[in-house]
Amino acid sequence: MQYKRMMILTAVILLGYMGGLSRAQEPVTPAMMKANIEAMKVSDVAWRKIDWQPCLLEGLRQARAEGKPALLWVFIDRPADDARC
Amino acid sequence: MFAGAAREAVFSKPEVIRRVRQDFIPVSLKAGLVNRPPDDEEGRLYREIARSQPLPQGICVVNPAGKVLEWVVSFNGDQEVIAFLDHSLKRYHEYPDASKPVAAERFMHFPNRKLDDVMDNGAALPVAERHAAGTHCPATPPIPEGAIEASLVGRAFDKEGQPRPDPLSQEYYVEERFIVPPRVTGKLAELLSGKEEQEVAFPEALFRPFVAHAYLGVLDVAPIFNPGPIKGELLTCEFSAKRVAGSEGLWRITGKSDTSHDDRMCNATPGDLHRVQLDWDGFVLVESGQVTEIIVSAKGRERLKFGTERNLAKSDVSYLPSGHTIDLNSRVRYGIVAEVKAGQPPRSQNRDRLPTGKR
Repeated sequence: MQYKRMMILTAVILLGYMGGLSRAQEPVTPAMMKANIEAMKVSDVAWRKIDWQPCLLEGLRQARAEGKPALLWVFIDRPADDARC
Repeated sequence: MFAGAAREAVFSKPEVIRRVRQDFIPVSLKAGLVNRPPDDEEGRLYREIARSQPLPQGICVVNPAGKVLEWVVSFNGDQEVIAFLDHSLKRYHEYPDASKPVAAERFMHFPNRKLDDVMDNGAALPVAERHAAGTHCPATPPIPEGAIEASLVGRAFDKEGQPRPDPLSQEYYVEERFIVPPRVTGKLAELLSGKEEQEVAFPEALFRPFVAHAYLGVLDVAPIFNPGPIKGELLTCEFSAKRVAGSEGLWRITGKSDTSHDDRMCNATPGDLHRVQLDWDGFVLVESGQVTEIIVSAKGRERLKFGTERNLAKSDVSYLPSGHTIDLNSRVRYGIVAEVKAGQPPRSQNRDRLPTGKR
């Protein structure tokens, strides 16, 4: 009975240790965490392929310079360069 | 919702991208500026654009004199998007400047549901080359003193633990920028600067800006800062910090959050809901009494149902103001990096002075 109890205790300690190892694999410095966050980003998303100009005056200036109409995408958001929409 | 749906269903299509880049100058404008313009010459331009708009949001084509040629809210189908660009270009060639009056054409759905034209008021507006020296463009206001700009990335993961592959849908992949306000950075600095304690518990509201932005989906499904009249619930927001041994001013952050909203979200239908439950981990760096860097990562689960009862028989481009149906029940992960920009006080090099293997 005591042997069985010791085995269970050993297993619990081992599992706890392995859990600790698993947690230790998490980023341990800000630079590592920052790199992991950067790695989550998708670099080639379709919606980045249009270079939207946020300034109306600059857009119209470019339109005059290039002899093109300006396409205005008018939408509700929070900060000016908010990427969520 | 309109912007998210338009970005996904219109401005991510290869042929639309090619045509917009080739034939137009693309300009993204905040509806707030168009609908509540500043009281100056630039404001007059915004007012002239707003004078013919069918809804507070939409897609508009103007000539370089700022005269509206077209407004469109939705399209009958994908092909009609290209047809709209062709049509707009044709009208631009007819009315390239303010030398002759032009009526603004307006479509709720292009080309079938056309509203009455809005006639030209005959006024030629002065269009400045640029903003006056010492002034900011109203579309890009400066970051408030003491605030930090944060960038967020969030992803949904499948059952095998792989990131969901479709970055066009914001319920699978989201990037966002937001401002961490001075009251948050100031309070963090106050709580962490020069403290003898090894562990500090934060008040609930302190990490609210981070928790509130950690969600997948469009703006309309925000669980806390929802654009609709009813805000969601912040059920849990428990964060604390432990000093990192061997460093100066570097603190390890851990926390838990739980946010929830229901079918009173903006543009929601009966049965819709949003719940985000996350475990947080990260760092705050405090230097010379100021927070100079915050890096946090969160993992957990997210349940999002949106537009459950919406009738979606047609193409995505035909209901841009309300967007598509979402049914997400997934593991999720978020990362947020907030740091002072160039020109603000320099950071020291101590943020990576951690003994190897220690947390």
